[in-house]
Amino acid sequence: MTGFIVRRLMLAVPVMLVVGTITFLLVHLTPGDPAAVMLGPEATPGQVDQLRDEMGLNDPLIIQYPRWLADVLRFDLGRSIFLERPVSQAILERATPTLQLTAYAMLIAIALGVPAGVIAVLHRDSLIDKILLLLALTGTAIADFFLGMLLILLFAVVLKWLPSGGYVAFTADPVGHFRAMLLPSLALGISIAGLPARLIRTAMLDVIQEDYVRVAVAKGLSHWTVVTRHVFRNALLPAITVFGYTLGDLLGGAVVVETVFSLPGMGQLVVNSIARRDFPVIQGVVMVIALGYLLANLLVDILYVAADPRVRVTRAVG
Amino acid sequence: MSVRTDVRSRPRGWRASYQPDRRRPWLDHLLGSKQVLGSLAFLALVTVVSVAAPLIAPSDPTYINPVDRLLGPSLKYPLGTDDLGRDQLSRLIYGGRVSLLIGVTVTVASAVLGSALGLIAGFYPRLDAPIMRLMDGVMAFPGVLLAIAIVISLGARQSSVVLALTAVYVPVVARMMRGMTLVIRELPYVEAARAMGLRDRHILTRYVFANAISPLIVQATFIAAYAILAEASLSFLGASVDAQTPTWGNMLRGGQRLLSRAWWMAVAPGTILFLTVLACTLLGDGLRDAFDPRSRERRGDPMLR
Repeated sequence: MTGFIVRRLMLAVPVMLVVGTITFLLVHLTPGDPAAVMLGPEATPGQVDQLRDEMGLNDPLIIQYPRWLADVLRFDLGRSIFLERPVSQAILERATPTLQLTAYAMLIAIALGVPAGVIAVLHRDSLIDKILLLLALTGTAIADFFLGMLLILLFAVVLKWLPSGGYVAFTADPVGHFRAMLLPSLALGISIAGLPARLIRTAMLDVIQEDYVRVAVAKGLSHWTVVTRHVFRNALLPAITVFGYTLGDLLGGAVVVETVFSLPGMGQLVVNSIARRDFPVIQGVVMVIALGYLLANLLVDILYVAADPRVRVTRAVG
Repeated sequence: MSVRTDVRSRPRGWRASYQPDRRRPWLDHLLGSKQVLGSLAFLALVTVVSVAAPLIAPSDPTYINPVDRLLGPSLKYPLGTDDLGRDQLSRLIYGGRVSLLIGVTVTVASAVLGSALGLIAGFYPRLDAPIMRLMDGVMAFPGVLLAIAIVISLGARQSSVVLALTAVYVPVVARMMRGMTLVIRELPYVEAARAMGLRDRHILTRYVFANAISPLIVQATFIAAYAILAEASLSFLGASVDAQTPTWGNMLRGGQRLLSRAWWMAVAPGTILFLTVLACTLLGDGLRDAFDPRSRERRGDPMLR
């Protein structure tokens, strides 16, 4: 177990280093001077030089790169001249709505997707299976922001049941919070729901072929008992592990959906920074989300091994 | 002894008795599937309309006519007009050009680059770890966000969008190709090819790659779907081609601003975007069923009910 965790960490560290390096290189992709691009055409050479100095762009790359990595380790992501505060502070201020949206959307995706996947397996190759598959594909194919707009049109513009956007803190007004978050979470959750549905369906189809399922059927257990106790339970774990990898889609989707519902999250922070060419903010958010995704998957993998003794044995050997 | 330089992938001796297998179960399966034919027909329609946009579009997509601003669907403007009085149908028709062009370019570029990296990583164990850790690193970024960061750094142009989205999808192809390579390189026919003295380059292209082509085609279809969707997201967020260019994402961006006043501005481009992406996904699904005999056989397994 410890050996596995150590090896898994050894695998994660280089990947995190790659993430940091790519983010570092992003600024240097800019043709010309990033500082000049940020300040716009009206800036004086003096101002540009001052910003270059502030961003550390005047030093050679060989000094900039280790300094950047050291800064990242201390969660110092530079300063945004537009927001007039450190990027890390701006990200922390904006993290709550994004994380809430991601969590709610995940719950909705699981609540819709897992039962749909189970029903699809139970009615294999019937009309229900095909309809559910088509629904899953539809959810994946529809742009999450367009789904969000359709939900606004129906529930906010026509029916006037829910607000069309805006954020209410949970501590300020719990009911208002969920009313405000329902539509964005639905938009993101539905567009992701196809994934857990397909994952649980594939995992259950794999488990069905196991000998112990054949035995369970042969010894006369009821269909329902076999499905719930033998198939579903054993399919759940592999499905959950793969689901960890969809966290990236969720976080990326949250960024887009936030802008539709004007939630003050990290996505809105990025989108507002696009027009201003606020490189440090975009860089910071992109990297924080990537590192968060890696950490979450590290955690999922370790929990998976803790929960499933079979994996512990095979992975320790292999 | 001189080394023969004209070693071919198929030795001469085999030719006489070689009976080519002319059965093509996958082709029958493809042509018999309504899902595949329907998707292909729809994609062909969108392609033809986009290519022939100047001939088909009723008016200039950039023609501003403030008198007719924000008109709902009518006979004169079948899909209404936007806040500058531009004909939405014409913008929709022209918008397909950007989406399809970027979708196709990104798909081809990431399939080529990803295949090369995946083949190399899978075939040469020494290069495996460095290449794949790099790919893992790129994949850790949510696709749309990484693409935004790259586009903003390079400047918002069509070429930057293609480059950014290619960077996002190369690791996906590379990972799949590496997996295929790891399996195929252990197969007897690769060993035979090596024993015959074929160069690595030939083994990789004619044996390994040639046998991994059907999963690659399936994956490319899905990548086309994701790339079209991602480009629309980038346009929607203002991190793609210039906001005045008619693209489906730009139209949705305008539609979102005026959602409560002019629903038609968002509904038409969103629906066409959805149908195009859905057609790509259905096509990919159908291709997978056709190419992968196991998924067909499993359907007939009586144990599974």
